[in-house]
Amino acid sequence: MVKRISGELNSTFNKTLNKTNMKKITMYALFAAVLTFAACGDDKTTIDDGIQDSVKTVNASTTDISGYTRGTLLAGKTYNMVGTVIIPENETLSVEPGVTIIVGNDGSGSGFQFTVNGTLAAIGTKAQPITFTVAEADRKIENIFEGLWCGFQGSAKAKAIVLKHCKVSYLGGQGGAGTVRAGKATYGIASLDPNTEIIVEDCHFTGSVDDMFRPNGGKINIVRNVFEFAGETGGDGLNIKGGTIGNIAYNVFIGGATNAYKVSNEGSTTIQTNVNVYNNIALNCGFRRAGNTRGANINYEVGARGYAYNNIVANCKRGMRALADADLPNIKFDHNLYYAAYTEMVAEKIPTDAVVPTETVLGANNIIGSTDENNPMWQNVDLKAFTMVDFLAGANQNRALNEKGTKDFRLKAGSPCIGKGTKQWAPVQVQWVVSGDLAPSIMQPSTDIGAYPLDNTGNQYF
Amino acid sequence: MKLLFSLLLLLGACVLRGQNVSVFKGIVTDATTGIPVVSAEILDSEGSRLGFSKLDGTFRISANADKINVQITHPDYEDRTLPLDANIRASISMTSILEQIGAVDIAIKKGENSEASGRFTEKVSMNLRNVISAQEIEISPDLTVANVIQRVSGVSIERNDNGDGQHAIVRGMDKRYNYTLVNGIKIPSPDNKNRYVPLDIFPSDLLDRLEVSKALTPNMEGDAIGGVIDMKLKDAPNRFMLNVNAGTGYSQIFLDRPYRTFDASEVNRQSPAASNLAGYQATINDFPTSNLNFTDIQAPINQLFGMSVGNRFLKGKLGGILALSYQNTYRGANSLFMSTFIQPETNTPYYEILQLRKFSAQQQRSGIHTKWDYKINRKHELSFYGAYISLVDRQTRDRTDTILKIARGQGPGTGRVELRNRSRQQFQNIYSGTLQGKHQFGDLKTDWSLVYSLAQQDNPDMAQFALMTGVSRDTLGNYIRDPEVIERDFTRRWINNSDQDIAVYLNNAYLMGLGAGEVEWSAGGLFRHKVRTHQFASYLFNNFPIGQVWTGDARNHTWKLRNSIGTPKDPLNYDCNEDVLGLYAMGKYTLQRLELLGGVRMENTAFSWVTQAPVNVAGRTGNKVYSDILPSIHAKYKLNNRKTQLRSSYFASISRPSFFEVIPYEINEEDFRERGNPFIERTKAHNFDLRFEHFDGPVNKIMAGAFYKIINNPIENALVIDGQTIFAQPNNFGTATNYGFELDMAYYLGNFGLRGFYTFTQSEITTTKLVKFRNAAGTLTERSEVQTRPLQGQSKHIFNASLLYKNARKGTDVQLSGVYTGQRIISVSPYKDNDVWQRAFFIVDFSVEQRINKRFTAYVKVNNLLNTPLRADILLPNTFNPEQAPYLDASKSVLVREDLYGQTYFGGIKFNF
Repeated sequence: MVKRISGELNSTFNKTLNKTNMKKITMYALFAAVLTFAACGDDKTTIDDGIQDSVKTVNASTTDISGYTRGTLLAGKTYNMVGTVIIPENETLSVEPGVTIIVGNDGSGSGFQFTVNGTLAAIGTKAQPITFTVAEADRKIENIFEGLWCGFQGSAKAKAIVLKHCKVSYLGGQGGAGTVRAGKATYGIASLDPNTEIIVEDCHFTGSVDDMFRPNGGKINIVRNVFEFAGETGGDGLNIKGGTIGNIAYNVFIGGATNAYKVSNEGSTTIQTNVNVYNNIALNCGFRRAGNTRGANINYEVGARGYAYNNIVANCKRGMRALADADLPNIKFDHNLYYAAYTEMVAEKIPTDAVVPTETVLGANNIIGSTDENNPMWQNVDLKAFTMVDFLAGANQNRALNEKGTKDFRLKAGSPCIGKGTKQWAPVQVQWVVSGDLAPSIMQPSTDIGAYPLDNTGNQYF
Repeated sequence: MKLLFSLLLLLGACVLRGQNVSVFKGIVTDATTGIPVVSAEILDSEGSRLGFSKLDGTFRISANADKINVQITHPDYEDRTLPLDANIRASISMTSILEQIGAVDIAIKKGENSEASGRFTEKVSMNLRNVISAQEIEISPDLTVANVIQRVSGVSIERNDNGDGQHAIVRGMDKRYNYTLVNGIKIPSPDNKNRYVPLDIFPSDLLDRLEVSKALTPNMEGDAIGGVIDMKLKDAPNRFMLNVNAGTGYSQIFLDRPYRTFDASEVNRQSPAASNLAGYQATINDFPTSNLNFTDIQAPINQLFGMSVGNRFLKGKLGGILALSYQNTYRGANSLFMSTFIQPETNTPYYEILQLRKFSAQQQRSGIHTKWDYKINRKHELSFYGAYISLVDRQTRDRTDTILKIARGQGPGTGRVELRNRSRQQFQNIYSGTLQGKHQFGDLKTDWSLVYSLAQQDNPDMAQFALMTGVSRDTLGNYIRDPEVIERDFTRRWINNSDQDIAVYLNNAYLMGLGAGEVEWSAGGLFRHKVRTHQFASYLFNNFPIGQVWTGDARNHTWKLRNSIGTPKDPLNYDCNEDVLGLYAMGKYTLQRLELLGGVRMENTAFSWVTQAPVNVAGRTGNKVYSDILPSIHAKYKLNNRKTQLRSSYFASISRPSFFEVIPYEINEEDFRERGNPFIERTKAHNFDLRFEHFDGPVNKIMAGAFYKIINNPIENALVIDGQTIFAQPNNFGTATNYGFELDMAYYLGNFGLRGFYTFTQSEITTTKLVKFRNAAGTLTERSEVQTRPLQGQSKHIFNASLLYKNARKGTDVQLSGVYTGQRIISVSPYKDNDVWQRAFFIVDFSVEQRINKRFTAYVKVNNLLNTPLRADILLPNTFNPEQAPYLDASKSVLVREDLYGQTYFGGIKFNF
């Protein structure tokens, strides 16, 4: 069509050349310009890849860390975290025993974080734990829910986040610009991909504004940890979302705002959340949530599956529940012990909002009593030390309701927990890629209910 | 002369005295264009009125004689005096005042705002075009351009929260596939994410006419696949003109319930970060809380005011018009919104949260428009027009959420309840100024335009806070309501953006003979430099101390600010530039009854962006450069009787991605991760049209047309599985097709008219969706499956009819308009077959005008006469928890939205001089 028009133009060109040749030549040139211009344009897209800092390798003289970082933080040293640390794809940042990392801030209101695209391996020992904390002046109880930094954030490319024998506090800062939680409270540990491996063992977490741990997919092994002060007025302890598989065992959860152990398959993923929750303790949880009827301390919902065995739920606002939209045929709650000091708590041992579906997953061997029945008989924990008024004090709750302190959860002789657990089932099988020091310790269940079996193979925070 | 007439009349009077009544018939038309002149006044020789010409230009008067002399007058035409014979049907042509001055443009200048001229434009235009004239708009019930546009064949509208039309869907093509012009010049959008211009910002009374082109010629910008909406604003008149219009009325919804408002006086237009030096540490004192306190008002009064004044000076060489419009309307909606989850084994929806929402909005539209033209001589003309359009929208939303999914073990009436109150303001402005010249040098015609326009949108301090409460039953079965506790998190947000265009247009046309016919060559182009900036500041607060029980007044409560510097490094703080160079060449060949137009357009686009995100964020900066060659050909053939013509056309066109979706932001939503897509391709389309047109007389028409579009790389927001993770992001989806036919007719018989259209549209797009299921191993998982469905917004059947009555003698105009919009998808679900379908609906509007005397006219307009609801469903049953909403039937489909807007009533007076 284009050709034909120019042909017509050509054929008439000679006839009227004299009269209007200038104008016509202009026209013709314009036409030619159009075609030439059009022919030379190629589509081209250029995008900044975001990797503009060179990757810094930690060496013996390193004292401050920030930006793209790889290498090893050396045993016993103290490092200042002066900006967000990004572990590049396929790179590892290792942290040796006894390291202290002091997280600073830039006054923007949002916090620094470890952005993990590769592997973070913080492997402490019982004798020489690794400490993630803030400047000494900021380490005070008033700051417990201030959210002074943003913890460990796995990106969609993250390979592994391994924390063993770490002490971590003041989590839940507001996500910085360009992060997935920009402008919102971050979760202490978060992931975004079902292939990310998250191993948290023998750690002690204190204080988080929102959820302590929220995997949106991942392979998890969360064992033998202590979590205190989780959630200022909301948020769960371990808030598992869609695409997550693994085990949560031998943990102690004290003073969570809402739920301690919550398992859901919410979100879109090709992998069904399958998490076993066993031999854990939830104490004093659920009283800090604004709004009154939320959650339960062992809670399965939205298509999730898994087993909850051998757990103790004590003095929590709400007990155990499975919601109707959970994968009920593949959920079982059994051999759990429920204790409540007060009648107000007992009413919600099986939360009244989900009695029917929960009853379909309850086994016959749960120990669920009425007011002040079946005290688990821990070594030195007085379960009637606080009144209902103390529990409901909101922001003014006594700190002892929320921290482990000197509480010793080992079982006294004669405890109803002894020998009442079950081992007649297996932890969730996970195909792990990490190995060596990073590899998870897979915990077998115990026949003693709770996180401290008599043989002391459970939680090591006595 | 006068003497002669007097004598004649005297003679006539003598002869005719005592004779019987005779009837005189005829038609009054424009001398140049042949279009009928409506409401021309017919006076007898003594100056008493005998009658008016009607909608179709015809008149029927009677007198006591079979031959009379009459004078025909009309404000836009030279008076004529002539004899009439009762036995002969008169055909009276009138000369426009402007014609005598001599227009450069061959296009009709005068009477362009009449319906007949609308028909004329449709008839003579080379491409497919539909026109709604000012006359049609004036007597219609429509207050904004968005409402006018639904009277155009093949167009349906998408409504905003308050039920007002906002965006046009042209032939089933979503708003992103259309663009908007003012006087032929593309205007930038105040929308913070998109290119398309919200049409509800424009008051309809500034319009001279509204033109919708459904086929593109090479001299038009090539980025429309559905159509081009061109708002032609009022031109300078031929003689002094003054029109004033004032009206008032009520919205039914606020007669039934109070209008909820908030105190906006303390709202800062700029965020603390923007109004202070960089790095400013805001304190809680920077955030007054008056916009969190709501008050109820009974029956607020709507107001309308419009005025236009124009005149011609310097012996008609200089003409000017100034038009002002102000509308203050109160609109609202009562809405039910059901959020749903997807059942993991059946992939069907189930109830999550029932949201009962009450919207109250005050909308203040202001428009100033001025246009000046200066005719240097017959061959050269300069003109300037400037427009300022503004829409201020103050909205409150009062939302009661009942959680149905969980915590309902005690049955309906119990469970968790969240009360969410939101106040928000939106200021949208468009400024546009164009200097234009038209010149004729021998056989060469040239016109040029220099354009500056600026579109802004400002959403200052959107504040929403939530109260958590619940209802439970005690052991006696009594319902116990929990106290209302303030939710911990609370956000205050400022968003603003501006979009500035500087553009130059140049068109040249050269006419010459070619064989027996003639050909008009034209070539030209445009260059546009666009600068767009977007700013985002969000402040997070925590209720402190926690768990405060709501007292009913925000001033009694305290919050703690968590990010004192705001969000200066958020990627939503960005700037982008877009330079478009368009060049075209085309020829139009006319040989007797055949007209052929063909040519090619080239558009080169260079787009770049810079965000303020930290340097480690991928996609912080980027650019895209691309070119398109867009050929088109249009043919028009007049059949024997010349009243009938056939058209066919082909054109290639594109649609560019919106500014925001290209920028690789990433937001972690609750269910999905949402991210931008810098690799998204522009959509390209091949468009074919065939139309048969029959004009019976100047205003009657029947048009029947068919169209077919092949759309490559349509853009939809959809879910993408990347590894095992699922993202929501805009993407290209193969090839879609869209075809249909349109029937458009207007028929006038004396005082009655019927105007309407019917459009059938069928489109198909195939995209990948997710299906939740339990696999053979007993695990709940998801797979991808393809689903073929219509394009979002496409209704198979659209039908519009207006019934008109016009009695020029009594000065009465009545219009009853109905729009039927068939079932359509309003929201595309990531899950297969879970799309949200709006049910078919029928909206009726009514207006009436009555002339009181020569200068004054009274009018009444009633919108949404039948209180038509918006209802939308997911066309799958809820098999999981239907008992949680026993008042809804979810056995076949799940109702997810039901909005009721109520009627609006206006009454007013118009003054014409």
